[in-house]
Amino acid sequence: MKRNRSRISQLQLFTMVAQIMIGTEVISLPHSVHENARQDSWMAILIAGAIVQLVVLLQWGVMRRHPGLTFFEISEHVLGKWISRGIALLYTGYFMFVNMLSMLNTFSVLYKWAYPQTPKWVTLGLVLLVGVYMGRQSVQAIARFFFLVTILHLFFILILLLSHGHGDWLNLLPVGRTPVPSILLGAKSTLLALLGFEVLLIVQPKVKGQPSKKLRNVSLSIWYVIAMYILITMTCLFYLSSERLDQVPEPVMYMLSRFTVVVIERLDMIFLSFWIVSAVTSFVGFLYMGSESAKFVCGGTSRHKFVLWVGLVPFVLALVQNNPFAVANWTPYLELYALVTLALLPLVILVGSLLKQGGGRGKAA
Amino acid sequence: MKTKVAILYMNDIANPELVKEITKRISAIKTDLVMSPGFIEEFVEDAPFSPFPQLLNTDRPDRAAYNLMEGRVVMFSNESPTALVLPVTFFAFYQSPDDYNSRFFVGSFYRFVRLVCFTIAITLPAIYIGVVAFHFETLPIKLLIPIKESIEQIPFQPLVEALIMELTIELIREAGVRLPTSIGPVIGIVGGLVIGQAVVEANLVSNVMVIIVAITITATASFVVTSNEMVTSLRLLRFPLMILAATFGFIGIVLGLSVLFMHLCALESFGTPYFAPWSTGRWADFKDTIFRFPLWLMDKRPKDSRSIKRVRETYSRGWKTDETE
Repeated sequence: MKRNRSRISQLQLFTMVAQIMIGTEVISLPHSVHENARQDSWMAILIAGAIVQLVVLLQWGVMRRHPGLTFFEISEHVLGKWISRGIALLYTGYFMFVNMLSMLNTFSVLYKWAYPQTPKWVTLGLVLLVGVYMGRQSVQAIARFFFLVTILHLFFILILLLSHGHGDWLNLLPVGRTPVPSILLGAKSTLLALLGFEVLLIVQPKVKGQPSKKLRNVSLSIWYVIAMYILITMTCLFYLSSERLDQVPEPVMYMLSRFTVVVIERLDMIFLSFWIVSAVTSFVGFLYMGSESAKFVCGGTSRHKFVLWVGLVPFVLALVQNNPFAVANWTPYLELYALVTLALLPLVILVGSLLKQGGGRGKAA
Repeated sequence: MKTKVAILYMNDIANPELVKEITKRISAIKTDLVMSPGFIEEFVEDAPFSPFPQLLNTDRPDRAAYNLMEGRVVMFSNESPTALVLPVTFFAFYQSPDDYNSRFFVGSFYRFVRLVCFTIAITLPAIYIGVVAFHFETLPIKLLIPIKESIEQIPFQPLVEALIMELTIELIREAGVRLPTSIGPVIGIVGGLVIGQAVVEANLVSNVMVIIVAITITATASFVVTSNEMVTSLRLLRFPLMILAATFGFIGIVLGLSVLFMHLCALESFGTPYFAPWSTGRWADFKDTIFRFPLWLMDKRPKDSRSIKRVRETYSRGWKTDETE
């Protein structure tokens, strides 16, 4: 019964991208964007969306020329075996880096808001266990699970809309008074919450359908996430004053802790429970991508044995760092790293591919 | 001892690949005893360590016939009234032939009730333990006071309290099933009423806990009619979730449920995704899972049986337009 094995539908691609993109940062996003972009945070998020869209177009440009291959196989085709393995190693490092930061984020939020007594290794060990169990399943199963848990987004949206009656629309004014460089800085801090759109690089050969449809769905997914982020940020802007947003690192939780629906006194606990699912799906997505790239580095045939290692390294790295500002310290490095792996390398490979095939479509297209 | 096994399928509806696969798996069985379909089930299912039954076990001829017409394969073994149906999805266990006999509102309503029961049955004790042990702040003050008052007297941790109550009820139920019919119901009444009352008065278990366990038990029992096997696996799944709730609170429950749903998504029964259509997003198949649409709207067989002839109904209510014209 090997029928339809490892095939992902377009709809599942859409939810997969969204689930990997929405991760731990969503809870602190309004704060980090507001730090620079002030009341024009929504513009910053839109600009970040446009940037990500451009990068995805670039990546898709690479992928379209070789529809049946993953990004690493394309780079092997263009640049040769050893350079491509180096690239895959860089990517493995990048995925582990992202996962380390997401673990640090997960712990700090859980520690601050619900579990002050639980030791770090227990909280993170639980996430690691669940993540590795999920990461070891087939891609198809992961895609199905991501599709299933997207239902939770409805609750996110519902919980956020509940708060709109209490807010003050005037907090958005004056529109466009923030200097452009500050908005761009805000966009830069949004980019971190958008990492994960690169999943197409790795999962592309396993998705059914035309390359153009894949691009359409990934783009739709990106704009869906952008819309979600704008909704979250706007809600926080309505509800909290500018000074409060500067003081509170997790404004979403702070805002929700004030709301009550019928039998639930503290909505933030419910939000936290749903948020941990988003955190885990994002973690699993990066585990999957990391194990695929580690497989390419080692030249193996199965990615399953790499999942544990790709998860364990960020776990240990997150455990040894006790600095509460670790995430903030690492962020500039991650930004640079992401720029190199997600934008520069695909560009190099696109140029190489164009040169190699003389601008023609070649055999694969 | 040779046991005869019959494989039944509709020749022009069932997928020949599926028939070939089940024939292959059945002929691979080499054992000296096949007592009942339960034996065959264990030999042919895809994931033997999964807590979920992957073949539907039914005694009702109408249910077997309906599944046959959906393009599934039905198996019988000699000297047993039970039929095995394959491939099935998770939601097949929540369908009952009675749904199709009643009006579709009623049918859909009971489908919905059964699925709500599924959620209640596995999560309610865990959520209660999570609230009581970790997240008191999630309850409004008016609800908090009575709950706190009732558990203040209890010498045990919420988990221990819940385990005592759950195990007692399981014990009473098992006794009720095994004892002769003349004593069985008596034990049920003694267990349910007398012990429940006495245990609360002795301050061993709180009032609220008795209510929670009672709701859970009724929720589980309410879909006994559709599949006994599914119920037994759900009864077991409650316990790990309760332990997770007692150790990690809500986060434990959510992560435990994530693992459970991941398992459901990864599970396949003879090449059919087990949690379809919720995991695969085939919208048309929702018509006969959480809802029971009117029969004249279900023109095609569900996709999870992978039948070779999809159409099963066309224009049966065509007379209506003829008449009005």
